[in-house]
Amino acid sequence: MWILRINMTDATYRLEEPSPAYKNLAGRAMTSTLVSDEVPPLCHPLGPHNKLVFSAGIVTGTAAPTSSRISVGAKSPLTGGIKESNAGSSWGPALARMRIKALVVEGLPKDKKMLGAFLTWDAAQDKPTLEFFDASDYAGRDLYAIYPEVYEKFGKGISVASFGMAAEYGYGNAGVVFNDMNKRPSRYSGRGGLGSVMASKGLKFIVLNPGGAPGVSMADKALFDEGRKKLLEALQTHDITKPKGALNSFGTAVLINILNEAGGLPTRNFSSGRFEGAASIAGEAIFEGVKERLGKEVYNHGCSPGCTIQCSNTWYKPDGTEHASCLEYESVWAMGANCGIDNLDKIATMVHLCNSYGLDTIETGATIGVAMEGGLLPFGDSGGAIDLIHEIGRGSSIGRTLGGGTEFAGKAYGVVRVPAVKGQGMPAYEPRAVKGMGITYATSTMGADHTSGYTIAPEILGVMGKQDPLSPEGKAALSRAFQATTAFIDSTGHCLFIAFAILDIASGYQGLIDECNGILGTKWTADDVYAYGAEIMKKERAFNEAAGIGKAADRLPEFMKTEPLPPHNQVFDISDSDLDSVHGEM
Amino acid sequence: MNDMELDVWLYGDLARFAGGTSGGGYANLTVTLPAGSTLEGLLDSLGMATGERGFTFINGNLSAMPGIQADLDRELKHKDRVAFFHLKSMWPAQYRQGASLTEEIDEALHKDPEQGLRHSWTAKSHVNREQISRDEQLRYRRTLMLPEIGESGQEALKAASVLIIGAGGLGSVSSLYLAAAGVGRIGIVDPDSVELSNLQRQIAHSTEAIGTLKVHSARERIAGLNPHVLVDTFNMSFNPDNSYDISSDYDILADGTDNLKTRYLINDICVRAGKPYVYGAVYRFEGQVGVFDALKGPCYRCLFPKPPQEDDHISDMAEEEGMFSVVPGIIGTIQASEVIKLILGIGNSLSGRMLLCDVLGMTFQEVLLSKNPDCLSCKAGQ
Amino acid sequence: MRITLRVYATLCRYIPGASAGIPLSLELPYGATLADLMKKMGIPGEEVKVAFVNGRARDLNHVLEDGDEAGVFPPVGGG
Ligand code: SF4
Ligand SMILES: [Zn+2]
Repeated sequence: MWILRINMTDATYRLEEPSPAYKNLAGRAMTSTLVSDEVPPLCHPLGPHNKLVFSAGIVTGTAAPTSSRISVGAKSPLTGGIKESNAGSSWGPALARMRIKALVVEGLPKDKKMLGAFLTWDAAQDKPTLEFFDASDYAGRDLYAIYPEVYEKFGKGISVASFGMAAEYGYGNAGVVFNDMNKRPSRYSGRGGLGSVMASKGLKFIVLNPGGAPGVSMADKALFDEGRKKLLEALQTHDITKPKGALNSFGTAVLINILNEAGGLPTRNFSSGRFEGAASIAGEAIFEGVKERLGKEVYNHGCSPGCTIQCSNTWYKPDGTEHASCLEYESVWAMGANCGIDNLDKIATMVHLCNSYGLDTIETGATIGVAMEGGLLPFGDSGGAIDLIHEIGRGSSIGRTLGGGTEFAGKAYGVVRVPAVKGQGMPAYEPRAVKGMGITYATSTMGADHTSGYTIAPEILGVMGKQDPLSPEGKAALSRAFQATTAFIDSTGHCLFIAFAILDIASGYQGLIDECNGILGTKWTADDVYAYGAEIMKKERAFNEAAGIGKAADRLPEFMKTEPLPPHNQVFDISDSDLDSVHGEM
Repeated sequence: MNDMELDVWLYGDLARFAGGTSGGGYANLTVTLPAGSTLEGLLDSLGMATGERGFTFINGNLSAMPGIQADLDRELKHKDRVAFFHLKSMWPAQYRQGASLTEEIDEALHKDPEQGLRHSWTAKSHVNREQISRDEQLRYRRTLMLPEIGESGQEALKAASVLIIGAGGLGSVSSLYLAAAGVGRIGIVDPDSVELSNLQRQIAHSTEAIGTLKVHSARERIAGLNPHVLVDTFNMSFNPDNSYDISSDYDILADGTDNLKTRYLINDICVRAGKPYVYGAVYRFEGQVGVFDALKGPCYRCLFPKPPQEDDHISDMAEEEGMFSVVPGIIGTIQASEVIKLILGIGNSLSGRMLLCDVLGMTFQEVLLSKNPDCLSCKAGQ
Repeated sequence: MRITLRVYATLCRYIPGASAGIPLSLELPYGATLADLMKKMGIPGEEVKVAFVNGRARDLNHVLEDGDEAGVFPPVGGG
């Protein structure tokens, strides 16, 4: 195993043996540890001392189902705190197969020239090797135009990481993009402005071709295989994750109607919990709409190799040609309900534009919602919203203001109702209607993040049984458990959507642990999962505190505590001390 | 008594209970009921069994989820908004933590040892699915009177799933009878669209449906006949690449295909999965019908080990040699009765027997079949 | 000995005037097998089919007896 360091100050690289302390770290555990160990918390995110770290999960690159996630970490230009954002792509498995535990991009180039890095396996030397190439021709251009050129240049079997024009401007809202299975630039480590960190380093592409590489080494292959089969079986039988189950049929956007009925679908910049146009933009409507336009039922595809859940959809134009992929719940909500837009074709255009320019869809939708609130354009003005995304992509002065993200736009337009925590725009669950999610938004080390509290170990659930999870203290305890277990899954490289199956099917959860033990040679039990995750959270939290983001930042925006939200007319009423107990009692 | 109006939302495939055609993945309707009606009364008026629904909301408060249906006796009020979700919808624990609940479900969740945090109510939801509603009590009254079937048999039918391969002459008839009888879920596979020349025998389709997909036309017909039936449609040919994926979710496979190649494929899939294959095939004035259940008797390959050569004089297509209208009707009806008997476990099935029917002479010849010890399919299936 | 024979579907074409399911009466020498019967009727050996005697499927070596009701049918493909 290696740590590959790319130094952009002088365009060199070197391979290092990882320190023994890093032996069991991968994915989010690796990126957050390395950032904590090496990045000064008070550095400027776009300056020479920030580092961008890529790490695939523990089981990524193996035959484990739904495990092709790649974590990207750095100090975030959006939140000013630590950031880990992960994506599903063939890129993660490719890195893992070359036995690179972490790829670290550091330093800062002297000139503004963009380079690319092409990483291959050197069979003679039995190690990865890297070549730089001039990437200046690709700067300032639509990602959908340059991805095919990169594929053309480097041939078959490659995976590509990059960023779009948004990142070249240094926006807080700019993601790192990876290829999907159809070579589209559509899989994002979107949140927190990591694309801008990569752009600041002048590294436009990291292209991987793992041909000839030995693959992931395993301490106990038989145990790994046993675990993998248990997990696969759980995924294939659970109603949410099985083929033609909830996710495969309707995608994550199946949540739109549910949250809308629950009064928790943030609408028109978080001024209501219910959107009258929800049913026409929901997963069910996408499924029916595609069926009508293509004349057949289409089930979803995988974002990355080896996914058995396959939740990614594609939207088509009336003539049956492709319009956008993928219309996730959060993206449809951000461009749709949050902006008062109820037209799937317009939403698809907006999502596609975000992919073209390299923007995070959640931050973009949340920002436009604030701009609408600030009077820049009316709610529901889809044409205006599309124009604004072009402005952001082109870097006009309005565009640059909005590219800074939700909180920045709020300041620019004098808006009080700014849905953000630690500078990061809120995703698609209204905290006043789904209070548990509010706790996670407030206390996550990542800023308002719905994936922070995604899953929970069944064992912990047993312990929770004594505490009433419906009470405020219970909710805080649950949120803590959710966040820690999620940090573990983020480190395995599995997609979080395995959470449903492993929570409900005990053998699936055991399978996950067996897989990790099989690879690492550890003897982890269910208890270790929580401990591993809690350790990550502590490191991230310590980094944030040193960066000046402490307890006082673990709060929701004030308007949520004072403005009742229709239709339930509730405010967010979890006390500060309950919020503080999330980290306090870890 | 006064009437009240309810604002009812039906999502996903539950939209079929709205009556009439509704597109876009949902239906919104106003239902008028006598004041004081309960949620169960609303379900009855929609003709929806309680197990058909998953998450349910009353005025934005969660009132039921699969397996926890605390709301049946809840009295509804004028202008209440009631939303029903299909069973393919989801609302994972982490996204619903701290959301608004009705008192009844709040109480039920507190009693649940896991406080409803897990999704393992999926198993429980099937129990609910099998219960039959009041509308169904009436609909199936003549069946329920048969002591061989009764309520438990009707529930078994509702819990069953059958895949019909081909929505032509045979599939038209078997699917309609299976739907009428109350089989809970029917899958239909067919790549073609309805043509005028189909209509002399393919009675699931109508003249207006010409040019539309056969699977859609059949689904519409079934929905009109019995809205309690879930219909899955697969607008594609049943081929080696998709056959396993398509069929894995069904208990029984029924033959309605128009060629021999697909019959070998259906047979092999059934032998491998240990499922019964209800065979039917027609030719001019004749038909053949039987049940191949490799666990109990011979399979199709035990009879006809290898597919015929190109030059064998075997007719694949009805079009080539003509087809007497009612032959698929007779054979398809016998197939449907075999499927139902298999689900209920009653009577003597046609397993190990083949009926040869000749309509001109109006004779039925029964041929007893036995398992072929050299059958490659049976060997591979073990 | 006297045998009745029923042929079905596409096999009718080998026997002029035959119609599916309608019994034909014919003479065979004692000890004749189903294979002999097929041969006499001109049904090629390699044609895919099932032969039966008195309602039970039999292989082609089956020896026929006086008064047997035999039949033969091929797979059919229509639906
Ligand atoms: S479940 Fe969806 S997001 Fe996760 S790996 Fe599979 S396709 Fe990608
Ligand atoms: Zn066999």
